[in-house]
Amino acid sequence: MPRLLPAPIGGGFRWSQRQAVTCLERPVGDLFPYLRRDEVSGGREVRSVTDTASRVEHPLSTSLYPLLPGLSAAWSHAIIDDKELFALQKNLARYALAMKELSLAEVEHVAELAQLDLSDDEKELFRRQLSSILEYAERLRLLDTEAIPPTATVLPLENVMREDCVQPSLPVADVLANAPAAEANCFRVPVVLEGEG
Amino acid sequence: MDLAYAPLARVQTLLRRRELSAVELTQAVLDRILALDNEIKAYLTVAPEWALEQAEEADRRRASGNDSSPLLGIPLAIKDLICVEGVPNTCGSRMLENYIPPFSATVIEKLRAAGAVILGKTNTDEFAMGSSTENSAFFATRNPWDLNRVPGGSSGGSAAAVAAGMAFGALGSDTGGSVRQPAAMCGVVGVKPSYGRVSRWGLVAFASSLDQIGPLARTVTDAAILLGVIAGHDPRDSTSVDTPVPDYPSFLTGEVRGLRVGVPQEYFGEGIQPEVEAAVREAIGTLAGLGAEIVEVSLPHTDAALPVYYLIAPSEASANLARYEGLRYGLSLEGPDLWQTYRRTRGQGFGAEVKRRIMLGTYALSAGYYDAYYLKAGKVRTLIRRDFDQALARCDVLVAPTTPTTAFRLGEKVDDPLQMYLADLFTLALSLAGLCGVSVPCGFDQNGLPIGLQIMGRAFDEATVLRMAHAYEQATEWHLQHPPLRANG
Repeated sequence: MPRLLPAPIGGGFRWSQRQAVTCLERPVGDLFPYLRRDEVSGGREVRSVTDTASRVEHPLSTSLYPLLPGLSAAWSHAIIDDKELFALQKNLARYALAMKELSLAEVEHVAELAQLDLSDDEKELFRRQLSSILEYAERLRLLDTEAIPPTATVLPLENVMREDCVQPSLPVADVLANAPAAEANCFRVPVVLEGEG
Repeated sequence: MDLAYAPLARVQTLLRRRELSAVELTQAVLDRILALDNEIKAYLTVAPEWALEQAEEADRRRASGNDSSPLLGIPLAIKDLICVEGVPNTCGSRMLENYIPPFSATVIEKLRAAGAVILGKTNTDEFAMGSSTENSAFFATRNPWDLNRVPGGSSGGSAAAVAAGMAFGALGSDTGGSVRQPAAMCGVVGVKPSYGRVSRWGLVAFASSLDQIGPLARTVTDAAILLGVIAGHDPRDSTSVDTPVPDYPSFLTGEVRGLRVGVPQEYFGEGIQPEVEAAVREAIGTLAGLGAEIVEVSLPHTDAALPVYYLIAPSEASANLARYEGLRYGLSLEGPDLWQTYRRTRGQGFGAEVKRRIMLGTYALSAGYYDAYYLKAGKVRTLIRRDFDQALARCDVLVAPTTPTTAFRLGEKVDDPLQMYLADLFTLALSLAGLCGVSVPCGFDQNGLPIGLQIMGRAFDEATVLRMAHAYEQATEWHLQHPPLRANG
């Protein structure tokens, strides 16, 4: 089990490979014996991680924050064993992949998919805000969901059958009343196909 | 009007005894709206002439001897996301500023059939996307308890109107907490029915697997009466469930002896305002005093609810809001071709939060990211549901705070979407699981701002949740306090 040690004060976290974090609420004085015990058993202290792609070194507190739910910037280093170090590296690799900030081009591509005109200011604002929201969402990656079916609706799906008969519907004039342009009982739309109109 | 805060049952008695007419009652509420709403800004549209017509109709119906409905002649407010035929339905958006629905939602048909008087449409965050009602394209609504603070959201207009005595009840809609959260922040009762309990036909869609219409009221009994009228199967909504609607008020016996109340440990601790935790802990003690059995439970995936919700709801929203293209209804800004008409209309018609969520949802659903975001969120949603299934197999209800903090100041969180999303922290998981919940007032902080107790229950077991809420309410006096408004006299 790794020990994530707080700086300067706080409780203690235990972090298992697969599951998220459980808070163990330990008094401060308790932490040093743990540190010593791990040194004896060959655990290693991790104070920072390096993004192998960019070669940028991050202090553990900030770089691990999105990886471990419940972890805050108050944590400075962790004691982990070899197996856990391997798991951490694996997580970091996945994390580094996902953690690249959105580029302006990606924002423009998404805006095009969504059929939204955005101003330059909006593009930059959304680039930053979406990056930070997606970073927050990264914590879901730590949950093992390989054998879990997704929920799209909470209701059991079943076909609903009914008689195929004509029901009263709204008068055409009422339906068209909110349309910006209407003609001959139809919505009037701009030319759809080139060369016609 | 000393009746402004009267419970429905008392008003109904006065109406039945002919000591008061529906027209007099409606006029008095309209006068109060005129006196108060310039400051509070709960309503986007008030329909005074139509309201008085409905009241006259109610008086005629009563005179003809047909007065068994508990809502006959009762003035109500409706969130501006629920269509009422002939009354503008803006959804708090420039996109639908001039949209007049040609039909009424099923819940409106039910309220009208019960003889209720619809006063008007209340303010909401644009397309219900927000937690403070500040995302309305028109104006922010203010909290009646402190006009410098938000009423919560997105059903903030409905909550503020009920809290200020500007309606005897209201409808809101709850996707991730939009009824419970503003109810807590405005000191009123708010019910999020189980997914499928109330027809969504005529409710403008935000996130279709989560949206539910729910009542807001000043007492649990009033909320139970309203829920009883709007609940039930509707063939026009294929997700409404064909299961009997119990007579909710008959479950409000005050008796909770032997019921098991689970306290999920994850809803307490870090990030919660200490006064909120203290009030909720005291409320749990009150429930124990009433004979309920208190059990510690765990919902281990509570932390995941926020990221799951903010992937699933925007994904569904991005699909639902594709319908606003400037051709059939709503704003239309013509461009040189069809595509530019779409983009211009949507770029100008939607506000910042709506665009942000459409972008987020589009990204989460796009090729290459679907598995990592939308599908992953759906799988974790299953884990969240299992947590509740396990806890509710041992307990009849779960109790927790409705919100981490009391109402915050206007403008405090508008520039930081993630901070704003955290205001829904305690209401999201229940929505994702499709279960039912109630927020009931359980105290005040040092600034005199209301605190809400959230009572959560099994799917389609609103009766037990309301019974617990009612027993708590009757054992306390929080619901008898009203905001310090000048018009109170």
